[in-house]
Amino acid sequence: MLYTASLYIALLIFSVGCLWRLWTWFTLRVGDSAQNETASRRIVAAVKGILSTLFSGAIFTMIREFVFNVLLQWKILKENPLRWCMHMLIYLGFILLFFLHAIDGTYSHPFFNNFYSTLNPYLSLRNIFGAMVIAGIILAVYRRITIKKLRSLTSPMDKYAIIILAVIMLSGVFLEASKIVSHQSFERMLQEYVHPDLYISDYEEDPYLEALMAYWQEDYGVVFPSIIDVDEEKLEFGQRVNDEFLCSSCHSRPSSAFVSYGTAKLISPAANTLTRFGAEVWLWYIHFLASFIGLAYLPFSKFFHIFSTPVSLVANSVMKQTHDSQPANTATRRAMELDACMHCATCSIHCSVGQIYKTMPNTSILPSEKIIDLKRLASRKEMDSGELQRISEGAYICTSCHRCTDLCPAGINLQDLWFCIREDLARHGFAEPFVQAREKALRLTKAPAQAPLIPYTPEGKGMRDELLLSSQSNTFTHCYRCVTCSNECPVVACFDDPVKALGLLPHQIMHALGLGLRQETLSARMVWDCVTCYACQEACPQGVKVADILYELRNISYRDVKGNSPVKGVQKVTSKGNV
Amino acid sequence: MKFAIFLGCKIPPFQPQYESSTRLICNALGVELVNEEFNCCGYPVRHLDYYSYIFSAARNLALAENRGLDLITPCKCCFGSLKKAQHILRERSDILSRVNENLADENLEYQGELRVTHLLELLYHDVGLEKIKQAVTRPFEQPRVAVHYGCHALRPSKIMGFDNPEHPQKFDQLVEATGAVSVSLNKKIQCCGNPLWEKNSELSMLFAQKRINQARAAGAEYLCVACTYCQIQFDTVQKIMISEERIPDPLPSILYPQLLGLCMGFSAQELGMDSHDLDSRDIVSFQKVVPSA
Repeated sequence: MLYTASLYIALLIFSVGCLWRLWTWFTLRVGDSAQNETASRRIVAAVKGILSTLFSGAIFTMIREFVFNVLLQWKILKENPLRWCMHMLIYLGFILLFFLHAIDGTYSHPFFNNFYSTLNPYLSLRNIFGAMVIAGIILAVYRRITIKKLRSLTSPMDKYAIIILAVIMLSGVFLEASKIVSHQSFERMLQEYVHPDLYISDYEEDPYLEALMAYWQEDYGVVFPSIIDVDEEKLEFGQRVNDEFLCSSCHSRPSSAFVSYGTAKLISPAANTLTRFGAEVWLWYIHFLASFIGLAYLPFSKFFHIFSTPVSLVANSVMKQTHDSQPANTATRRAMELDACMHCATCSIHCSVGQIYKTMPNTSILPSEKIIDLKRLASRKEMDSGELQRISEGAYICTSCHRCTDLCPAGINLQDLWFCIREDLARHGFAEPFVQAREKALRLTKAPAQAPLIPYTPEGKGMRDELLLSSQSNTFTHCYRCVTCSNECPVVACFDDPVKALGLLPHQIMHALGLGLRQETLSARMVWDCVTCYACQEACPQGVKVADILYELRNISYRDVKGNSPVKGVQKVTSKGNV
Repeated sequence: MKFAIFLGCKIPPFQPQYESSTRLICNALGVELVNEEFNCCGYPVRHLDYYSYIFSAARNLALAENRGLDLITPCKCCFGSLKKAQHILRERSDILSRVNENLADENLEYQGELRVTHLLELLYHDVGLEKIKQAVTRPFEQPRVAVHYGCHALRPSKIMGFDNPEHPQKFDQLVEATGAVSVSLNKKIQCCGNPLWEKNSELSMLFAQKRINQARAAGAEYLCVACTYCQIQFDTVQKIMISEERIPDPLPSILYPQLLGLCMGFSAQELGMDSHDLDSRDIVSFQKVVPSA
């Protein structure tokens, strides 16, 4: 009753969940081009696209992709063989268990001759598959613990997935083990298939029963309340009885169920206690409830990748990566890709700017987390400006090196999504951090021209302390305004009236720094139009690190954007400028 | 000679031909290039956070050092970025110890022993002009080429030490080793403008326009660069500029390993010259016909 009810509830949640996920594929809008595509247009375009692809040469590309990257998971193998082993063990093991065990009652009989879950080869196969999944889970946990980046990125969702899987597998093993050792099961079967009045407690009066029990105790691992004395003659007799009662026609020796049998041997000292407390019953409850919870949770968890990732891989294999012919299909592909991510963190482990996460602790720098940001943006979750600022930092620290896209085992065109996230951020009014810092700095109000300079000077001392990092950056104090830097500057040379165009010229910035005119220096266009060619610094007769100072001024302005104080943990440069 | 090759972020996705041509000529000249999964050199993040830049660069240095290899890069911006960081780490023990603290959990440590070099430096100093001239089997017959040095190879000269910052000659000599004429051009040391691309694209294109026009005025038929970003500027951005009618006709840009590669007997296709935005393949018409043996 509970079994059937919970199965149907789980199936219902599962179906509704899957439909909802499918619906998001046609409704989530990622990137500018998706903004005007309605769900109905996208569904029609998708159906057309699928039909036209199925009846074209592209079908072979799709089949090839399916075989290599869905079935054999070539991409994972190339990236990391250990991870491939882990995934293959879980995925193959679980699928085979699903067909040969989870749905055996209903579907296995028509497909397999003489199917009995308790007979070989099915009995041992089930254990082989179970052992595969368990080995896979162990590898998964091992990887998540030992690979530091993976460990720090493991989210509750990743943990739930592993926990549910582990509970299903372990409860299954223990369930089978508890049945192996259970004398109650033995008795029930005896009454059902031999005679309803047979009780194992009467074995002393029934030589047939005694022999059978001795045989089952020795060869099948059953633990009876009192140990049956065994001799060779009795065992031989027991074996004959086993055949005569037709026990052997349904039960292979459980030693071929090597995982459960090993576990049974392990628990056999406590077998009678376990049997008395009905271990086989509550393990069964745990086992099927965990399975059904897993089923119901599937569409809402990373498990959904078992559907979305193959679809994404196959679809991407035939859709042109960046310029898909149909904008409606591009929109659908991108929404689908958001679902295809299983948070394996391959992208983050190999990310070209992943190391920056250590120095700017912003998870949005890492691609595996950025895709979650994008999903939240696309589903129009409420986000405050601080969060959007963090996302934009991550989105633009990306150098578009394409490594994540090349390695993604789900075949997601991540690089394309990273361009979309910039578009989505722009619609929220968030530009590139460099531009954010520039615009903020250019808006700074300058002191009125007639105001005395002296009041600003204390601030200037603070300013000097802000310029901490580059080598000798407070060398601006050495400047004697010979204008060599400004004469060398190719940016200055671009303008007829450079002061008007650039606010302050490099030598004026160095001088203004000495006077402590913070706003004036940061808001000088020169700071933001520097090409970083180092011509100024090369030419300076005083050794002022002009270009490096301009870098640091941009850093200061960006810290203002983030509302951060100066970087901590670095010694201040001494007032002499040298360390 | 064995080096860890540092490609930077842009070469693999946007200029695979720079990688393949570099590998071809290095292989032919007996330089072994070893792959390592490096991260970004740190240049782009330097505008936002100086320490993140230094740490990014330092991690790469530590990765190469960890394998006991010196590091070579074909990109001038990566070169500048890495060398500058190396300099700062030499000068500032406080930053060095912070870097090493951050590297410790990966079992990495930066000692400061390795040499960071650029492809041109390797060719000029380690391989040597003589050996390069010997390797040139199909020399050019004097196409006029404007070299563009790239800011970060030259300046700050005390750190980079690549060449004389005002009158550099090494790149010219390398180009002339192929039989090409390096046109006299005093602006060859100036910036291509790419660092401002997408930040102030107008100004960025003005820089490119100046460089292209100056090169053309000096009689150049081709540009030659040895930097990822200079090539983006003179290839991709120049194409945009032509479409916007900012410059009349293209002055195609060739990557140095392609120029040298052609003379060493590799085909334009092998060197990936068909994947440029502006076609420079007609330079092969300047090659002397080698009499068949």
